[in-house]
Amino acid sequence: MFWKKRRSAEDLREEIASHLAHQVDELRDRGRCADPEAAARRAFGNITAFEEASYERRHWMWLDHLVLDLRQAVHQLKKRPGFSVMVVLTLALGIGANSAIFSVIRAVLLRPLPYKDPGRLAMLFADDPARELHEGRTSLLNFADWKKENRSFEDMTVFTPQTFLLGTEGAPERMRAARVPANFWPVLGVQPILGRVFTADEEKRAERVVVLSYGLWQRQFGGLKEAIGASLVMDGRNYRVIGVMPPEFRFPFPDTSVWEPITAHPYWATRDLKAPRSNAGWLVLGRLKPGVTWAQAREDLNAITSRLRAEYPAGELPERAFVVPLKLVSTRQYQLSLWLLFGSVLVMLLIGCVNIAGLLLARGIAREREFALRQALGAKRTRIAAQLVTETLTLASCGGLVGLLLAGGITQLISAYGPAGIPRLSETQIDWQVVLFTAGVTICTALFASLWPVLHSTNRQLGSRPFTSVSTHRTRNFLVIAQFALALLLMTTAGLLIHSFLRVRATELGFRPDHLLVMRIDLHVGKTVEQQASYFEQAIERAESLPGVRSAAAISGFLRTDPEDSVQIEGHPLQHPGPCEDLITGRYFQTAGVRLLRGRSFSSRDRRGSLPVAIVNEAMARAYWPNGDPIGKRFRFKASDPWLTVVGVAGDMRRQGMERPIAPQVFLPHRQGEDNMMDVIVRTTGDPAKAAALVRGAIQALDKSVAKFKVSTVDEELAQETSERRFNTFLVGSFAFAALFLSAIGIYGLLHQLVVQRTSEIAVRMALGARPNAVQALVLRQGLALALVGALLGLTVALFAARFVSKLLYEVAPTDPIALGGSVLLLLAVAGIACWMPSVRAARIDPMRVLRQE
Amino acid sequence: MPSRKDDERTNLLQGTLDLLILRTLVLGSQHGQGIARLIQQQSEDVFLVDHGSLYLALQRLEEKGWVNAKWGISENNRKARFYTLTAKGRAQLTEKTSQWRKITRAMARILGPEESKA
Repeated sequence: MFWKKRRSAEDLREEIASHLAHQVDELRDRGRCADPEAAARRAFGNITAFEEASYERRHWMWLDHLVLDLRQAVHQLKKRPGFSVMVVLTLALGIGANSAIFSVIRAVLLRPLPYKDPGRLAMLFADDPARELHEGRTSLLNFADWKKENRSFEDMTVFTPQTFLLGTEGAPERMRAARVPANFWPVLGVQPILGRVFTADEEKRAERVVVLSYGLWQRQFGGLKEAIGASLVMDGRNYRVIGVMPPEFRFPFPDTSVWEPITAHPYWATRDLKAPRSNAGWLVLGRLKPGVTWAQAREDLNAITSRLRAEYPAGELPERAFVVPLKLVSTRQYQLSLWLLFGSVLVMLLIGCVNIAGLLLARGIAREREFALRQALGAKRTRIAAQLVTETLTLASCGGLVGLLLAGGITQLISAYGPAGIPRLSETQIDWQVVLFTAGVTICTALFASLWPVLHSTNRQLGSRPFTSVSTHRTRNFLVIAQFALALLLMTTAGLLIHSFLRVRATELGFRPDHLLVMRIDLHVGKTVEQQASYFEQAIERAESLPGVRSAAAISGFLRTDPEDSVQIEGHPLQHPGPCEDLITGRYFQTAGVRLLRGRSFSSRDRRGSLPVAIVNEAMARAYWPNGDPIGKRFRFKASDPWLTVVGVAGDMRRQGMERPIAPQVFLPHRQGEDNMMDVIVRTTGDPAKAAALVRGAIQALDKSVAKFKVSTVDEELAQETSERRFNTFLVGSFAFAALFLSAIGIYGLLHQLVVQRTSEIAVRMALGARPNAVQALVLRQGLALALVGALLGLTVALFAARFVSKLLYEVAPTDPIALGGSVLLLLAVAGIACWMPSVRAARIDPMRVLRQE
Repeated sequence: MPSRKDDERTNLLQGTLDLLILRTLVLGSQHGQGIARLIQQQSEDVFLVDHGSLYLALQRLEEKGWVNAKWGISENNRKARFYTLTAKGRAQLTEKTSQWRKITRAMARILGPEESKA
């Protein structure tokens, strides 16, 4: 509407001309005027002022001002390139780190899962605190009852992971399948990108159909449409490919390659049919009915579970059901550390902001005359404030842009090298939301950084010197103190994490991880128990015959083992939970580097039919036979098992993760048990990584039908285990380091400026006999006092804040004196260095020259 | 920059000037110089209209939609921008006029009959 009414300046000018002409005509007609033109102009008043007034009426003045301010800002920034580069880099660092961490949080925590209405999907676990069962699996029979009797879920589906061997000739590849019923697809609400998923009829008829993951489709069929209808050989049987899922669909496991009907594999399907109610191997997923709350669903499921427990006392059913929103299942454990990272980058940005505020204040002094002049020429305070904000905003925008580029680099590094365990971390990328976030942060940063300078520039009486007043110094002192407090907060957090990390690294493993190779060999189905045992014996023999190999052995799970459900010591009742149980073969203790403390190790005479024997670890001996020698004592896992006689006690080995206590462990001879999947460990004389290929080749040559396997060094595996902690510690540590650096720049800037301002005062002092040392001490004292106050303030906050991160610490108290004290000392040391340079400058002031200039 | 006091004073004048312009235009469309002349004549030269302010007022009235403007040829055979009262402007005039009458009557009552100079 209103733009139509706007007239051009040309039109207006024409009207004025017409007016003047008419006026002249009139005056001339009356004939009383000597100079009608001049009289007409006089009657009109100030034409320029009128034109200006009309211009202001017609235009959006703020837009005009903005353009002017922008031009002025660019001009100002060009005039001081050093200052500008400094500010842009500081902001780029702060904003870049923020955007990068935000994009990680968005990828891992915020982005909705790629399913229909994912907020109503939940995992249903079996829970039994008395047996230390958390987020446990459930049996098919239990699932059927949950599904039938519940009133909270629209539908429920079930799945289980299964490995299969892909291909026939040569060494087949071991891959992951998910065995799912037909309603798996509608519950998740996902569609294949090609073909279709299987139907309930196909499931019932146990048809061998399979849905491929995007990855396997690309790898195996080159992404061709002809894959539909083609056949895929799994475990030696032909399956018909009917569909392909989109690349982002990786449920239930990140490495799922195919989805097959529960009934398709005859071996597993037969086993399922016979499985008792206690056979918990299944994971349950449900879709909540609209309007039903999580609490209601939990109550509903718990009621059913308790009833089932009462109904089947021998079923070893869990005490309760545990309903967890699907979104939380995979991300819950990373929430704290990711938000901590976000907090860290925010603090770092805040410190950067404070630095920039300090720089702007300092520049305010230099520009005092400019502001005074502008004000004298009629600029309003708001206009000067707008100018300041525009300048900062211009700088911040440059910083934001560079920061976004930086964030792009960081996210690429994170998605490539970040710990593989964090779900969807590899999907971290800069998308429009991250860009929007960056823009928001940039604007907030600019407003925050220009807050004090604006307050000081506008809060002034004409003729006063706002930027050198006491209040400016107070503000800058306050800013430096705040900066140090924030930096210390970040440093103590980093200190606690670093100390924890060192404690994890220094954890007594109980075995020697160096010069050790580990490979997981899966014999899969189709071998008898004796064939399985002899395969591993031969593998060990082959490996030991290689040059550079000292010894080899095999164990069910070298760095992964889980407690059994129960144990019974002879003469005692059954207890929950039981110790971990692993089969071993070969010279295991010698290869792993574990001492056998008492008794004997296994020999070839410990075989099926002979006395069932066991070796226990010290933790087991302490837990169950605290007052006597366990050798010769007997125990069993279940009432239905034969008694096992303890023949040896071995040293404790940390095999359930570096950060978990050592559980009681039991070792049994492979020949007396049954296991088709084992970890072969090989101790080498030289670099284990160099021997890896040789060892793998030798073992693979043994039996071509065994799936290919990966060989890695135990050191690598352990590093993998600590990768999340390392990732987190490294990032928080880097941010703390950057924060410290920025704070050092801040205090340096403050003192430097102070010395420059007080040059004449110092010169007078020196002329009156003050020694350079005393002058230097004066400056140093002033700087260190600020740092100390900041450090104490930060320490107080840190003591309070550390409780929130206590879950991330390992064997380190939130009040850990080493981390806290170390942080304070480091902070003061760096502050000292930063203050040293201005203090030296102060001490070198030549009073003669300065006073002569005055 | 004008202070707030200044603004109040111009506001008062603005209202007056607007009313005078609208009243003048009741007689028919007129160009700016003509309006100025008419106001001056009709007010028996009491009001001395600052022509610059007059045009600012005309712009304001035009933006509010109380008057229309069109380029035309004046009685002097010159190009001139003619202003015409719109229906909206006419309604405004009626309202403003009665307002003014009320104010002047009230003011007259308060100030009393014109006194001879003491």
